[in-house]
Amino acid sequence: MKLVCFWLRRKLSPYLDGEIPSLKAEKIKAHLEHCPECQTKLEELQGLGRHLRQIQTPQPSPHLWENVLKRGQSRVFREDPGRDRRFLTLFRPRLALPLLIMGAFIALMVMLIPELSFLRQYSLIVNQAQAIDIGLYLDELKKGPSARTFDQKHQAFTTSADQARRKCHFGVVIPASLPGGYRLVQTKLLKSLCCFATQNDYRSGENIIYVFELPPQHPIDFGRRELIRKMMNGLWYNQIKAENLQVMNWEGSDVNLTLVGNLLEEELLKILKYLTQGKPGQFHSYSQQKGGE
Amino acid sequence: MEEISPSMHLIESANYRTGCLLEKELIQRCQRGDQEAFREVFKRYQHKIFRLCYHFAGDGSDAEEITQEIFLKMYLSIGQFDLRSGFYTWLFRIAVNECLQHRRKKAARKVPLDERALSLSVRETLPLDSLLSHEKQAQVQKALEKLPGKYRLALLLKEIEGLSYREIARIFGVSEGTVASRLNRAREQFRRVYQKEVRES
Repeated sequence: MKLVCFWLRRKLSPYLDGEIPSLKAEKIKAHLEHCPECQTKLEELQGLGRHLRQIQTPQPSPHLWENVLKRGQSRVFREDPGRDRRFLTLFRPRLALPLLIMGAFIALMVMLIPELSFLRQYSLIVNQAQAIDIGLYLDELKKGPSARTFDQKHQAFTTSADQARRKCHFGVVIPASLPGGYRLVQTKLLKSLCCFATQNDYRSGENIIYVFELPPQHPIDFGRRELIRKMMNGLWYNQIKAENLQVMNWEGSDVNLTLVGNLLEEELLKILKYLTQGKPGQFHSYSQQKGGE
Repeated sequence: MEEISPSMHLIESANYRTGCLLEKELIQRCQRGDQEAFREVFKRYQHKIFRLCYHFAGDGSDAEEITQEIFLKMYLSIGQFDLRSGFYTWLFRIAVNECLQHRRKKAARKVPLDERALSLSVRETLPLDSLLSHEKQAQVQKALEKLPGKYRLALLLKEIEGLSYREIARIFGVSEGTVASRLNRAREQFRRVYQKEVRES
């Protein structure tokens, strides 16, 4: 067998099917005219194709459709296939990515937009954690000029004499007998001011809540800085009348805290009314109790 | 030779377009779960599918079973069919996969080859003139059955259905070059096996 014939016989099949470029087909045709062996081979292949096409195919059973129905009855026709398919289309790859991106966008919006904070249920926990930090900070302040302070940036306590000059604006004594206890006020404070610390008096069972000044660059702000400034400059606690409230005297302490004890009763009620969002009854009872003592 | 006028071409083209549109509409109805549309699709394609299955399996009852399964699978997965691609190719892809799967199941059951070749029910339905060449047909069918499944299907799609290499490539999900080589080998193998069958008989 010649080399040309060897090469050509591999191309006979596509040549027979008309799937060879015209230029090559012309060359093969020219060769076939002069090569009886290759010509026989081609006829052989053509004959096989004819044999295949001559196989008679019987008619399918007239009940084929019924049989398809019967086969599928248990699997398909009892349900609404359209509905199922519409549901399944959600999982198509071309829809999955846009849905994922949309989900990520909504999550980002919830995180960033303050108005959507109601969707962030965990924000209170974060605030509580920060409030605990402030409590620790206050405790540290009481230790003196060399007190360590909690550094938000490095998430650690650092020593700084400047930090010891923070001002505490006022303190509120919450008696143990108050309905709801100090935790209620603490929660309200958390929601409104977000800058307080608590101290527990183990002997009397009373709890003192300190509201104090925020450092200029303090990360805890939540838009309440302005409110605190108003409280500081206003008349709420300038006119001191020490009757019903316990005076918190920290003068013996090394820390230079401006104590704001002896608030006027009505001023305190005003603050507490604000803090408790319209539930001053509990503080009335406190006031009455105090007054009764 | 009678020359076809340009208007004839236009009519043919319009008919072709209408046919395409109707088929698209039919498929859309199938996708909405319309059983009547499904029956219409079944009517259109049942003979082609059955023919392929029959030549592949070499047995009428097997061919019917495979055909039923193919149309059932078509109904179940028609929601995933993209209307921009060819329905014919898509349906034949299901058919090819189903045929290969059937062959695997059959091989696991190990049914003797002679029992499968041209069952009685098929012989009864054959026309009289074809019964004369029945022996020859049985030889061709036997030789065909000895080919590997993919070769057999490629050969059937080319010789019986008359599909182009491009269409076969789409059905199998391979390149046209692979189809060409597969067909070349299939023909060569088929020629050898057929000659052996003839000699033995």
